[in-house]
Amino acid sequence: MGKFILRVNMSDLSVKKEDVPEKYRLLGGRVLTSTVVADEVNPACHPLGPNNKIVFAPGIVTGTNAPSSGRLSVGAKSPLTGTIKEANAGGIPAQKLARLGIHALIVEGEPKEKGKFFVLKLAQDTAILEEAGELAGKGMYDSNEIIWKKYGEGVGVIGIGPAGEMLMCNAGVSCNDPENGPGRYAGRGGLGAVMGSKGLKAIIIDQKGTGDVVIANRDLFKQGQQKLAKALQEHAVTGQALPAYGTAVLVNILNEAGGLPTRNFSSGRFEGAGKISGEVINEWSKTRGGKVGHACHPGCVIKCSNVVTNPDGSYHCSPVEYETAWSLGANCGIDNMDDVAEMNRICNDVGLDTIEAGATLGVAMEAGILSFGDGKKAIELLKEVGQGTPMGRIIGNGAAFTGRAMGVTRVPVVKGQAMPAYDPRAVKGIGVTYATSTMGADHTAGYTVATEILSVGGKADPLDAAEKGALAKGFQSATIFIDSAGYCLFIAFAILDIPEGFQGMLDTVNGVLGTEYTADDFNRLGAEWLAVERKFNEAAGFTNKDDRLPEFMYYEKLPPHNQVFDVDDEVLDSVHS
Amino acid sequence: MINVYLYGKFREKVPDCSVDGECMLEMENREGDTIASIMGRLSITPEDVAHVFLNHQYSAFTRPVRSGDRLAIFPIEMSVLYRQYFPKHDE
Ligand code: SF4
Repeated sequence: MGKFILRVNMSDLSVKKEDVPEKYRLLGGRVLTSTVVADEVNPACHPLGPNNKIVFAPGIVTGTNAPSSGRLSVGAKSPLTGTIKEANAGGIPAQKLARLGIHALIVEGEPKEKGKFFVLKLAQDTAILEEAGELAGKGMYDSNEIIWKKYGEGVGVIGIGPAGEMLMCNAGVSCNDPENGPGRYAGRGGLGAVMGSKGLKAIIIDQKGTGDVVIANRDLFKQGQQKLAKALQEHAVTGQALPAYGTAVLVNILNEAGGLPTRNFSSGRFEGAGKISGEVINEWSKTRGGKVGHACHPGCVIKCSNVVTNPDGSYHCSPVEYETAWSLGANCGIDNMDDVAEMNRICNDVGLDTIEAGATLGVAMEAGILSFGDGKKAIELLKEVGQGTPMGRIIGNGAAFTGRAMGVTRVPVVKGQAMPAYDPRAVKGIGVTYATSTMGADHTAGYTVATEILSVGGKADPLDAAEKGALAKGFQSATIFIDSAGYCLFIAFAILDIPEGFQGMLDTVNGVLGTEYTADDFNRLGAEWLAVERKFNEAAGFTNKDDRLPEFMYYEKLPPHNQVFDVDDEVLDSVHS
Repeated sequence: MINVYLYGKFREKVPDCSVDGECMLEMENREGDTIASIMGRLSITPEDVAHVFLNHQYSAFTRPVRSGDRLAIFPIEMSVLYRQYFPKHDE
């Protein structure tokens, strides 16, 4: 089926099908959402006003049977950071959007009647806006259940919880998993609030009757797909560690490295790390009826996802990821995995990004609103977000807002967005990424492992400041390419270590598009695409001065290494120069 | 004594290892011990290993170990670190 752009205007409730402009034809995923935002959104606009737009795009190869490629990119100007934003998620909606032929879905305007919510129903040849009715105000678990009952089992759901409806800056966008759990989030940057400001509660996607997505060169695609799948299965991380332990495999590793931010970034070591680690999730899959090696969408061969159960074996939450086990665990001094899973579940229900939520609780603990380690009180506080109490609204607006409300100076954010689970005083390279990413503090912005392919080489001295700038740039370019192709970022482990896997990834992209991209283009295009985001941010008023870590990290030493963040400003500035 | 923390499948080397806590073995410190010699006594070969941290420092196998040290060993499939981000200590 031919591809098209679907434009939904919430001011007059119109839905229009448009041809894909030539300029967007070869784009997908993150580069597509960012390019549309850069082309159509005034960088000076209020992120929650009528002039912002929210854009949804499946990746370039999404909807094909390329392995682990079911990502959905969501883009807009972020209410949390004020920058351009792309967040992406797995789950089942993206493949369905792609199979309906939707290259990008652009939602603009705002409903005449404030506080009124709609759902957008997409099926082959139809796109209908209707009133959300009983869905309005519901949490994501109930919403998904109601939607499957009403619109058919198996439909894809992209939705927001009460936090998004109340326009809170930490509201994420939920995508449902194959069992209809809401836990696959395009979480970061408050995109759920942008969706809420458009009066859109959910997008429901039925792919019945659709054909395959268009592939320009099937032979090349097939070769690539096989090479990539083989690499993913062979590589120890993607073939063994992620399926066995999930991403929480990192809890013990970062803890041993002294880089696991603990109690609001006051230590790099958490004595309770073992209790919230991937090893526990793995063990519970055997003893409590949980699951590891769960795929967040059909066709993922890595399967890093999991299902965590209650002590009685009933379903509790899916997935519990590294970032979440850390943010709601170590960062709050909480070492009870059941409490962590409960908080994770509430975030999924209310519609919150777990990284920001945990960082915010850490700041609230620092302020004395509750004590570090008090899981029960933390659970209550997160519930308040869904209830919209004054305290809930403070917490729901993120770490920076909460820090300001409570007079806390140790607030771990860059450009208003909370840092993920690597303390940059212990893991300095990633600090460069946090500081200079176009998205605010974001680990995925430079999330790759191997250096060989990025021409700066595996021999780079990790302490060499100049090299760090180049590395950070290389990583960020590689990442935006993977995000745009529609692949899960975890393929990076295998494709950057196994040359055939890398070639396979390129072959699938070339196969779908009919292009002849090479490894050089991978870096070149990545850099060009980053420049689009960077330009938007400049027009929104951001300068090099915003590419800095929070001040306390420059003077407060982090135990156990007792290091500060000492990368010079010139190095940070060199990343994008 | 050296406190050796084992992760992932290496936990199987510790009888009665608590799953939701830490798997720690107290090992005797012998004259001239290095990370490699400790690994050897546990029948762990360098090829089996992803990362080793000695007192939270990412370390080469040749580093000497002393009484009271904390040594953490991760199996090869757990090689998920941003390798270039850590200085490797070999002294
Ligand atoms: S590796 Fe994990 S996050 Fe990535 S597509 Fe597979 S299950 Fe989803």
